[in-house]
Amino acid sequence: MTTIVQISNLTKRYITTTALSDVTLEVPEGHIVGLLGPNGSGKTTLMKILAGLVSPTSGTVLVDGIAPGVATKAKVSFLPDVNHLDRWMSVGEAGSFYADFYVDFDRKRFDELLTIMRLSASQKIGSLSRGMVEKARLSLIFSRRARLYVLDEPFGGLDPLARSQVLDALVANFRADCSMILSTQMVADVERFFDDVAFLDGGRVVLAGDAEDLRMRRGASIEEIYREVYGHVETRQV
Amino acid sequence: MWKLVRYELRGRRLLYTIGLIVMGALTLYQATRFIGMQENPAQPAPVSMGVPMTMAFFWVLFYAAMTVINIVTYTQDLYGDTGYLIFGLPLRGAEVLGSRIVLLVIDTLMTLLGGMTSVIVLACLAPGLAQQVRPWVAGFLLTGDYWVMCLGVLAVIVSFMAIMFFGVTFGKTLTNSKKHLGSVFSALVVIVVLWLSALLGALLETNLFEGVHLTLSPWKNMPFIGGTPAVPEQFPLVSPLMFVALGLLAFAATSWLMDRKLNL
Repeated sequence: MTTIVQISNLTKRYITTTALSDVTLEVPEGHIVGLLGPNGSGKTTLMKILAGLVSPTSGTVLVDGIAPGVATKAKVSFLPDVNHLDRWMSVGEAGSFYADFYVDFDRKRFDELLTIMRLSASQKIGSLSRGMVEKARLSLIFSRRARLYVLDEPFGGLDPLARSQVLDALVANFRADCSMILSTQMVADVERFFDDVAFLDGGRVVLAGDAEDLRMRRGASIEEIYREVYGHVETRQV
Repeated sequence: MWKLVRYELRGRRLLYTIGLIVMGALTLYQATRFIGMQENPAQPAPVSMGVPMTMAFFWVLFYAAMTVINIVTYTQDLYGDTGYLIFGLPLRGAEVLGSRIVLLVIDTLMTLLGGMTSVIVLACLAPGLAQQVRPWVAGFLLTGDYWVMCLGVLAVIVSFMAIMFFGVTFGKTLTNSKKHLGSVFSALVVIVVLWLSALLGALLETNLFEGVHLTLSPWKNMPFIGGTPAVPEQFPLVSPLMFVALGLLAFAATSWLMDRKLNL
């Protein structure tokens, strides 16, 4: 099976902190990987490195066999955890912007997704509610026929109905020739989609493997394993 | 790169457009006043070149404000959420930075042309001044030395901005997301680079290249501005050339930082 993401001994240090320490991870083609962990565990940094927005301090990162850079940006569809769209843009203009820069952007698919998400191309990003902006951003991300989808907290600000719509879109859009890395705090809602999971804590991978295998071995759901793994974190926070 | 320029021109030019409209309106207002004065049957008081020159000063202020906005927009892209949109594109750092430089050149040329048009129109309408200025307008516009001087100023401005962009990018990559620390670093980098450039330029001008100057007569077709415009002026050559080389270096370094050391 082809491996889309290969990470070996990845470390990312900032002036005063170490965001990632000796992370090793593989994502095979056709897999959806749940990247789980509490705030500050290094999920976002890892995703930004995959998207080519943060440079690693040491270690190897390969996306489809290439180190993150211009070439991988054309293959990775990244959804940051904040609204990255300009407020002056309309939803349709955002689509045109993506179509201008990403050759894998499917305009027809975008229009279909807008219909599913009940969005209009003429709506200005600045006038949309947080949930609607999330839907617009997800429509853009899923309209690309990317090799790797990297979604950082894609369900923030979505009500349960919208979350269900987005999850349906996510499943319908997923192809066998791509992979997806998804970080979320709403583990219970999405764990059924995970093929693999990786638990991060303090910048290190503390547990990783096949989601079904983990469930079987531990006799618990991924959410329960999450509570088990990060119990000490919750206790410390209390 | 050109797609990014098109996008920036379409979406992020609101303030610039508003500024241009305000400057255009100011010119129109003053021009209408001059026309009104000329149509007045009473002999209007002659207007000195000071009035059109005040308008030129406003254009310079407008340009300075737009330059600051350019730097702020770039800083916002590096530190703010829209950076994910711009720097996530499959474009090389040189293309992203190149688009900013192209925009800067467009801004500068539009301001120069707008400012010149504004000043010439006012000078040609000002009572008492119009008769002096009108015969010289065509000659002034065809003064090669004036345009050489403008080109030199443009090159220095672009180099200055490239150094500013380098300072901001260097501060960001060095300190990551700590905005205030990054801004302090950026300012320090820019100050150090400019100081070193001035020092080195002066050193080269006085020692190695003493007497190397550019002799131009940009104002030779503007006798009405006073002084002795026909006498050629000596402009420094080595310092600006070194500054432009420094700008090119800053451009290359910024592109490299964007490609290899980005930390959004």
